[in-house]
Amino acid sequence: MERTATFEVVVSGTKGGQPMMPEDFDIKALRELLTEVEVLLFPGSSSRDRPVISYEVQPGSVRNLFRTGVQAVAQTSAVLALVASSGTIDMLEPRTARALEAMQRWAQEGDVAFALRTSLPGSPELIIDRTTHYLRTEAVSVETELYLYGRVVDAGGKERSNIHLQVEGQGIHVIDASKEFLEGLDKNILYHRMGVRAMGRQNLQTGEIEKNSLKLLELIDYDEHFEEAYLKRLQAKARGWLKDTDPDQYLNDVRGTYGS
Amino acid sequence: MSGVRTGLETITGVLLDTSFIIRLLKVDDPLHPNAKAWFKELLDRGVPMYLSTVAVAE
Repeated sequence: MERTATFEVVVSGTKGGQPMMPEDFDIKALRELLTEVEVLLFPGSSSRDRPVISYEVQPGSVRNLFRTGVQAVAQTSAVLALVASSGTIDMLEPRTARALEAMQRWAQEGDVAFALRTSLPGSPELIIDRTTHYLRTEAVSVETELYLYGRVVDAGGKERSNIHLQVEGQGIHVIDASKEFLEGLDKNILYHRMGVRAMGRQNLQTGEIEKNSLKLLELIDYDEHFEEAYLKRLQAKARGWLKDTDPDQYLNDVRGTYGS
Repeated sequence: MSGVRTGLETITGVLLDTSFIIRLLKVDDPLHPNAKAWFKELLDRGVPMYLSTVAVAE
């Protein structure tokens, strides 16, 4: 079996009353398409980390052929089958859903149609046109507040200021932070382990946090080493309400018969 | 406890009970030294500690 396969996006439409041809496909449209295709093939990777995707355009109307590793194409084929059979993109991971939403909006606004398929045997075909509605329902994600702990690997930005937090097992979260906040920090946070309290959107179906939706609320100086002075401060804070408390009696009172 | 095989080597995380938190903060509790020693040990070994919202509410 070949080690590479093809993901194909056929764009159909008319230009001047005639079927669209490759020469009618502007580079601006091509650039948008390339962005969405990259996400569909490698939703979890950045451009630097992923394998090569080669590109070829053919007539009929505009056949955009993307060749890359067979595993990525097979995964994309499975996503196409899932969406085609269910008629919804609500269950997809946010990045993949956003890519298909972008194509849906493009189809509605530009009066073009997309046919997505792969070269793999038995590949499904997903049609996106004016009559389809591959948009996420409103209730699919909710605003939530969360704590993240990890290492700051980048902070700043000329246009969009943010910090990049590398969280073990989750990758990098990009968290919007104002320039004033970053400027006012009294110590360098780069490459330090920090806690972050942030607002963001969480997918109700997958539980996944939409990584680029995060906004910084608070930066927590997070030191995972034992610190006697810090513990003493916490103990002093708690002394007022703990000094006359019998822990067993307190928990029995709070829990009642629960757990007994 | 550091340096001694305690069985913690294979543990990837622990869930803290309310009782543990109270005993960690209540210095005159008989079990405070135990809670403090475990807290220090878990930090030293880099074992993630989790606290449920139920424990926070309690």
